[in-house]
Amino acid sequence: MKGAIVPTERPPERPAQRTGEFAPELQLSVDHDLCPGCGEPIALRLLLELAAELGCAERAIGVVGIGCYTALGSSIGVDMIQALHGRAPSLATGAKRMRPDTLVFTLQGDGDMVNEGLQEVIHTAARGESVTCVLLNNGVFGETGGHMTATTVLGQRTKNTLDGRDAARHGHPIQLPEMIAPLGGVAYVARGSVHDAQAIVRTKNMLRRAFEAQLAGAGFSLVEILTMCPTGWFVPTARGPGYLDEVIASVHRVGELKRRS
Amino acid sequence: VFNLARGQFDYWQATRGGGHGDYHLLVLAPIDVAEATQLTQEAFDLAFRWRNPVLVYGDYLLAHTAEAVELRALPRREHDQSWAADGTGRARGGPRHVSPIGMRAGSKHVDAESFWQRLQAKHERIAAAEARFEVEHADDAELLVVAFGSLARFARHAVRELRSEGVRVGYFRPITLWPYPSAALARAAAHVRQVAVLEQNAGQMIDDVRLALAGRVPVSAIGGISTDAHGFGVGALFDPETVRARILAAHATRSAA
Repeated sequence: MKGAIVPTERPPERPAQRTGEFAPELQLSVDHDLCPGCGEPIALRLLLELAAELGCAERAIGVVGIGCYTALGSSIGVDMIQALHGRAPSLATGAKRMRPDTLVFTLQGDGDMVNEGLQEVIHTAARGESVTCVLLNNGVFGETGGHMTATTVLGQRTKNTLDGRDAARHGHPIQLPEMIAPLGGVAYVARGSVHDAQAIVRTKNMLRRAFEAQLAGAGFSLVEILTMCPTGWFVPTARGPGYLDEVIASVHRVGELKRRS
Repeated sequence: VFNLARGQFDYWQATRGGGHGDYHLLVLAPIDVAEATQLTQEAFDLAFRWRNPVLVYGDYLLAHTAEAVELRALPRREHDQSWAADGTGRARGGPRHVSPIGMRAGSKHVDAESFWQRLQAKHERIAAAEARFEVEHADDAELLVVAFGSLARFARHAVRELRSEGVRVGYFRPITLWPYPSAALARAAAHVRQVAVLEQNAGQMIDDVRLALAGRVPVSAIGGISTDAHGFGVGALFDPETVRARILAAHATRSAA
């Protein structure tokens, strides 16, 4: 009875199902080692669902950066290359140029893509490489303890901005999609979120359009996905989605920025 | 990977590793432009054969030397590339993960310890198979000169010249800096009274020479810091007469003792 609705008028006859039991075909693991309330596994799941739905299961290459989500890499059911911090777009470029018929995507965090590897993603976009870069933006260096990144919004508390990010001391957040969208080589840019069911569906559609742009050879595509990090944000786990929606998404606005057909 | 920017000050970086991790690069040190064209081709072959990064370690003099060479293409060798993440993994028995931290597809955790142990076993196989060197006049030499890269060309020239004059000196050059041809050097130095190391730095390769000889033969340095005003180029040491004089002085020191 996989996927059946559990009746609520009486106690369940069997234990509740975990999301892992609905794992898509290309997701090799049914659980993860990240914190409760983390948004990254949802984003990975969307990617893997789409790779299968677009018929690319046997011609897809994922390039994974370095962050919490690196631990999800072993559950990726397609060929995968582990990149150095920030360098995934360059590896993706090489993979796509040698195997132009494959679906090539990166999986990077904000610390990876926007801090460490900013020039990599900008040059890859400007060259118009037909790859899809996926930015999981939670506004902190989660893996190394939850410190400020280049996308941390003003006022946001992190491990090294305990009183909130202050523009005078720490500078302003970088909104990467807004920087990338005007570049000539870019076919599709969007920012989605995984804080509720509607946002997840919407984000999956963004990823679908990005992949479709890539497979059509239209050029570079970028999808930023806002993900929850209640651990890094100093908020209760259940408060993570609300904090994302009210605080993070008020600066990093969800929506499509470029859709070139 | 190529390092041709400076003098010979990067020997330790090249052979001891420039980053973190318990690893080795294969390091090739060409003596001249002709050998550089050969070793650069071989670097790619070695990288695929061993699935290991290869460093071509030249120097400023080599990078700025123009010589006529006959380019000879290496015969193309086929290597197993079934490990490559080309997107078709699922159609060929399962997804392949190319990871420098030992992460495998479907594994719950990184298997780093067995990964690093496999890497060490591979290093041992590389060390046994790939050590390369050049040796001349070692059999009856009293003094053996050890040098690498461009500076070895000066050493080889001086040794040949001194041999033609009846001075019993020999010459040994590691072509691979890792794996270091330690066994070959120990054989070449088996009957000499002294080993002199000529390198353009404060003394780096001399460590590997001492390790290879394990105290059986006295080892001295006859090179040293020698650079031009820009800090990149070739200093006074890169001079045939200077090299000849230093070899002769080392030989005379030992003969007098």
